[in-house]
Parts: sequence; C-alpha cells; structure tokens
Amino acid sequence: MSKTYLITRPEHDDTTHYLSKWSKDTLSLAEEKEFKVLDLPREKANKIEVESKLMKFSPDLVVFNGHGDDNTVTGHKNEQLITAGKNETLLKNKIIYAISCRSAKILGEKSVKAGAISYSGYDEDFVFVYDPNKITIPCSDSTAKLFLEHSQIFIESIIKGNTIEESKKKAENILRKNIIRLLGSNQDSSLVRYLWWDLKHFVSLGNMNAIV
Amino acid sequence: MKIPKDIKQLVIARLETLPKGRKISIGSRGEFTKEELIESVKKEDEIGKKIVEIELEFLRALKEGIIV
Amino acid sequence: MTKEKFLKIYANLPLNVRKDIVLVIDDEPITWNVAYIEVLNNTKKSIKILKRLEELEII
Repeated sequence: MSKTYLITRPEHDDTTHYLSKWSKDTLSLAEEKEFKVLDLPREKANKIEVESKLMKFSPDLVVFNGHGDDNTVTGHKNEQLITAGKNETLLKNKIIYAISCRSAKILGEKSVKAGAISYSGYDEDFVFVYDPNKITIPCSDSTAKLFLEHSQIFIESIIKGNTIEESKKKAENILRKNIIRLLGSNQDSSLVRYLWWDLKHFVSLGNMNAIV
Repeated sequence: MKIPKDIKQLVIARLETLPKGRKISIGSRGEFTKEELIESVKKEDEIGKKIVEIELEFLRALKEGIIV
Repeated sequence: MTKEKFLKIYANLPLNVRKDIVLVIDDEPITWNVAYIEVLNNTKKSIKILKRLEELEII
C-alpha cells in the first residue's frame, strides 16, 4: 500500500523561505519512492488545509516547516496549525518532523502521548546562519547548507525506509561532520557554536524503531 | 535577571568575530545581523538573552570535549 | 586543582577554538591561548582568570 507524505512549506520570511527551499528536494524523492505527496506551499500551509489533509489522507509522514514555540507549529504568516491541548490528536499514528522551533518541548511530548508514532524536532530555538545575498537561490547558499543539510538528510532517510533512530544518527553525523570541518585550523570556526546548539537540541520522541 | 557586565562584554566580543554580511535566524524570533545581535545583548532584550545563553552553553560544553 | 582542570581542558581544545575569546577581565578580552600563557606563568591575572572560568562553569 502506497504511503503518504504531507509537508508544509510557508515562505513568508527569510527563515521560512530557506526551510521551504531546502526541503523541496524531498518531494521528488518521495514521488520516486511512490509516496502520495501532499505539498502545502506558501498560503496553502494554513490550518484548514492541514487539518483537512490530515483527516482525509491520514499521511504516514508529516513534515512541518515554519515557526512555532513550545506548544505549537505554525504555517503561512505564522498561523497556528497544530497546538498542544487543541488538535495534536490529528497527529495520531503518524511520524512527525517539525522544523519549528521548540515544538518538541511540549507539543512533541503531547503528540506522542496522543498517539503520534514519533515526533522529531527541536526543544529549543533552531538557529541557522545564511548569506542574504543568496536569498533568491537558497540551495546554493553554502553557509545555510551547514545548518540545513542535516534536516533534508533526515527526511530523505525516513522516506527511504530507515528507522527514526537511524535517520537521526545520519542527520547528527552531518552536523558533526560540519562542526569538525569548521574546527580545522584553516577554517573560520565562529559558526560552530550555532551548529553545536542545533545538534544538542535536535530530539526525537516516541518509537525510535519506527519506519514509515 | 540582569546580565553581568563581563558576560555582556564577552558575548559581544565573541559576536564581533562572526563573519560579515551574514544573517542569523533564531527560531521564531526573526533574522538578525551580528550588529543587531550585539545591540540586543547590550539592551538585554529577549534576543540578547538567548544569544548569551547560546554562547555560555557552548563555552561550558567545551570542557566535555566538543566532539561527542 | 583549578589550574589542572584548565590545562586538561585546554589540551583537548581544537586549535581553532584556542584563538577564541573565553573571558573579559578588567575590560580586556582573553582568549584561551592568552589564558594558557597566564596560567603557565602563574601570574596574578591567572588567579582572576581561573576564578572566573570556574564561576562560569567553563572549567
């Protein structure tokens, strides 16, 4: 039976623009692996669309790009999509990845309690550095790549059928590899602190052996 | 809680070493130049406090060995 | 004891990190390398440096 992949990709500021572009390649991989892909870019990353897709298609893998806080993930123009205590039950039986800041802290835990298979994300603000001169071509931004590559790898690994644990290790290894490279004596190590922060606060909750 | 003077000076000195012409996205708080971050640390606003937290956490982690 | 802690941590720091500012003492930025020289020479400054590094839980 074919799997379904839902992804929100708001693009209303620099941050969401970068997150959106850096996760776009996962769509083609998912299609290649014969997933049904539900892409919600820009203004389509709204609550009505998200709730409707979650209820109608019950996707196996859900990726939320955007902002958020401890209790919520947001979409287009920071509209709340999923909020702890309100609608996290919609995430039941799904594998979730939220590149939305801090949502793993409370929403993540509550989602798993409500039946989400697993919830991966960050329990602190996700930080990344980018070159504003590359804003129109974010995927060519080598500074941003240091911070965003691991996220793409994480999603792709899950799509390819690896467990959450395996996928998390792959993602963490990318961040570590970037840290080690920048620590080389011929490099600028000033960004290491932010890579290290993201590595430390990248968490996965729920069933680590789950596959999509 | 007020940030001690030497901590502010430390964080500002470290922020000065960030590369020019880059912006830093900090969660849902926005995107900032290093100059804006330095101002935030001086003002001790929410962003400034977050940056201080990130810097101190990193410095404290060095004693455990940074490659873990 | 604090001196030993510092030297152990310093020895394990990547070369690039040793050039980073780790403290500001009396309005002067101090890198790991500068701190190392002060500590090795048991200067008065090294006492302040080690004390503050310990207070901040950096060592």
